[in-house]
Amino acid sequence: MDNGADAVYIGFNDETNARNFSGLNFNDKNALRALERIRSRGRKLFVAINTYAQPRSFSRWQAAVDRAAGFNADAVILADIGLMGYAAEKYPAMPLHLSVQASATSVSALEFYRRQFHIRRAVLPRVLSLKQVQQLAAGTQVELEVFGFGSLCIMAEGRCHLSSYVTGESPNLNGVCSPAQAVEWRDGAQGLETRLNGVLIDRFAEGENAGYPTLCKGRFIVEGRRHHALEEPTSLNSMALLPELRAAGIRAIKLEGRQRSPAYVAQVVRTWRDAIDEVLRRGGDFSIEERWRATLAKNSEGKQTTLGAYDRPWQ
Amino acid sequence: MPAVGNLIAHGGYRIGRKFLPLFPRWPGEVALVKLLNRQLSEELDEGVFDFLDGRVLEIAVTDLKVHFRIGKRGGRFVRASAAAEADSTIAATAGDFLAIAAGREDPDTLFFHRRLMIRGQTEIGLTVKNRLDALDRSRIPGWLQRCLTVMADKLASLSQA
Repeated sequence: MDNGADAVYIGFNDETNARNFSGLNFNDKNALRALERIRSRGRKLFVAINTYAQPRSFSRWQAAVDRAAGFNADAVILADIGLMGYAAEKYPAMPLHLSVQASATSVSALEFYRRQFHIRRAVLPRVLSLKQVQQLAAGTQVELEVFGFGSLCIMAEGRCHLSSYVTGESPNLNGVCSPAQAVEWRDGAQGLETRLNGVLIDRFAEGENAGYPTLCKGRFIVEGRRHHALEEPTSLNSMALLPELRAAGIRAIKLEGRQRSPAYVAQVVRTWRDAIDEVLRRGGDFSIEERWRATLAKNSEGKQTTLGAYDRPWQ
Repeated sequence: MPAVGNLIAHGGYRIGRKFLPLFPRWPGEVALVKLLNRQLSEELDEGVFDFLDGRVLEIAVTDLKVHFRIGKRGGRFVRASAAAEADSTIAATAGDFLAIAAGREDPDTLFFHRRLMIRGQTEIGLTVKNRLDALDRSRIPGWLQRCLTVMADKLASLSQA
């Protein structure tokens, strides 16, 4: 917020949010404290309740919605269709955002959620190309939010089960991708080894940068060649598309940050604030300043950024 | 004035690197535990650090060859007994630890660049990192914030020189 964010999204400290890591997230006291600070500055607080509810403990997800409504959050970000029904019926005045985890990629999907649950906004999956984003924006009445910057994964939002394949826990059901208790860093004869639940997923030579301890970012020997068989470590950076996104009517840019340090969040948010202000001032005559590029490169995974699917001609 | 500061930082760092490994561990640990107990009393009361109960966390300052080993008992941080093995070790240079404390560097970036190391139980190390990141920095007294910033900058310029 100090660096120019218009809204901040948080999660409660349990499996109702997709960043369910020990030491992150908010209890009631901290959430209230955060809300007071945000309100005093005229900004907004959203609560991400973006995992899929388990039948045996649905009440926990309901309780999270109740808590968010109780302290009057500006919106809840939901993925589970049952939970959306609960929130829409019980708190009709509370704005609903459709989480990226719900993976709505068509106008008919977005309009369905709008008619059924009156969603105010949807966060679009990162798998869409710019042209697809533009087509969605033209065809739906739902306000749209897209990803601006952050570590890129394999973009099967809400449907990725790679983590549970190795550890038994997944982001969608447990809120964790590669839970910390399953991760082990060990110095071996051939360098630093990363193991996930005992399974070797990567090895880094002396002086080589380490990568995220997730299955999708590991290196594997496929047909005799050792490489990033699933996903190259990289960060998505859609800054170059800001004029087009604005012209398409995109209303918000999401920046990853809930699992990152204040130092990272401050630098990335400040850079994007400056860039967005520049686009609002100059319109199509926008170019990325060198210092913005340098700051984002410094904070990117694997020292490179990509436009991701935005510039892929695959529709 | 900056020249004098640099001279003191340079000299202090050089002397520290030479002599600190020769000193016993306890004075540093006593000071660290005291500082943590004072600065984090509210968090301790709230149970934020309960995950360290009965565990041993080792903080290794690699360039100074100093190892602090702390645990938690009865609602306070304590020095870990000399015989106990560390459940989790966090290691970095003095300059990188100060840069993290001063909010200048992102610990994840340092980790991926192999400048910050976590060994043993990853979850303890990660939780410590997350808890410290979540602290309200405005509650750190002004003198300590300024001190951290100045020292972090000095050591950063030293390592680039």
